[in-house]
Amino acid sequence: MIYFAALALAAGLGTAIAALGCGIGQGNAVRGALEGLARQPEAGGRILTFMIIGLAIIESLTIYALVLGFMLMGKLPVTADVLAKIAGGY
Amino acid sequence: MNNSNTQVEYKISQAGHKEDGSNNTPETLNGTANLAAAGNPATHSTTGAPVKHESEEHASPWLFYGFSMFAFLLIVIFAINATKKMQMIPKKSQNIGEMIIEALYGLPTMVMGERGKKYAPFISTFFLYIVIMNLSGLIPVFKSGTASLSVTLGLGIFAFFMVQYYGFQTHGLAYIKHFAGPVAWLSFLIFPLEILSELIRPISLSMRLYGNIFGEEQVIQALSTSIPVIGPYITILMLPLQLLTCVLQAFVFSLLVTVYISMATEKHDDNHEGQHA
Repeated sequence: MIYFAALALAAGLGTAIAALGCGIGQGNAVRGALEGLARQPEAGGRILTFMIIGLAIIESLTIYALVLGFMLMGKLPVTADVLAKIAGGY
Repeated sequence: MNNSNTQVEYKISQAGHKEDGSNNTPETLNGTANLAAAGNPATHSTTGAPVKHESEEHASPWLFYGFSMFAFLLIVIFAINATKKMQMIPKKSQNIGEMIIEALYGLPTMVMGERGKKYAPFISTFFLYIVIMNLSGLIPVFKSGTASLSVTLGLGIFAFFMVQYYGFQTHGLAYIKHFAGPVAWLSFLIFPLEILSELIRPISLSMRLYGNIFGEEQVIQALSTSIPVIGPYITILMLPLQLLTCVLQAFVFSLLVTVYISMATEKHDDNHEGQHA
């Protein structure tokens, strides 16, 4: 039973904690892009391109955690079966 | 649109359903795609027989191979149509083909300079193939070919081997020195690190693409099943995000392959000239 509890916690918290780091990283990336844009508005197109590329690469780290979350979510049991098992004893 | 997508997706994922009669719990007999109850059975159902999990109930890989073949055929048919009877002033599909090729050849040229022209067909193939596969998942009855880890891993491994091939083609056997790092006497420490970081590249490429595309359709499925009344109709708000992700992930894949090729094939001639001077 602790196995399933730990599994549920991991499935839920894994992507959330990864998204925390991703948010900080992408915020930094956009900050750099906006500062560069403010200094030189003519370079807007190129800055936007590189910013989007950088954001996609940073986001991919959270996507790895999301894929792990899907894998873990697939191994969780149905609530009705767990309740039946608890009612019928461990 | 997206409603029928998730309904059909659920039916497709039910196609490989369990043959033993173990999935007879009332939640799983429910016809609607109730992800929480029906999609994730326990190890043993209430009748005691073993039951497969959600992760084993995914659609058969042959479905994704079929859709990737569909993208391949689409590109080939368009290419054949655009290149027969080529004229100097292009019309119709040859015009579109030239526009696409011009835009796609700009990517390796932007990253690598003029020597990018040699690798441009290879990289453009990646971009076109992946973007057509991703976008075909937005059509109601279809699924993206890249929503399967097998397809994306195949693309990643192919990219990895081609990068090594281009490295050996450019440098010969001296390509091994690329993994040695900057200083000669530390190279035995740096060598395994570089080999490992080289090996992790196809995995990161494939996981990024798979996670984005498969995660998008999972988010739509979760949205449509967990919000009670308006769930399936809210998913249309995910459509712009899905469009952006499809094109962006194809672009990021090809851009990263371009960067890997440029790192593997760069010649250090100007560095040596600077040191000798």
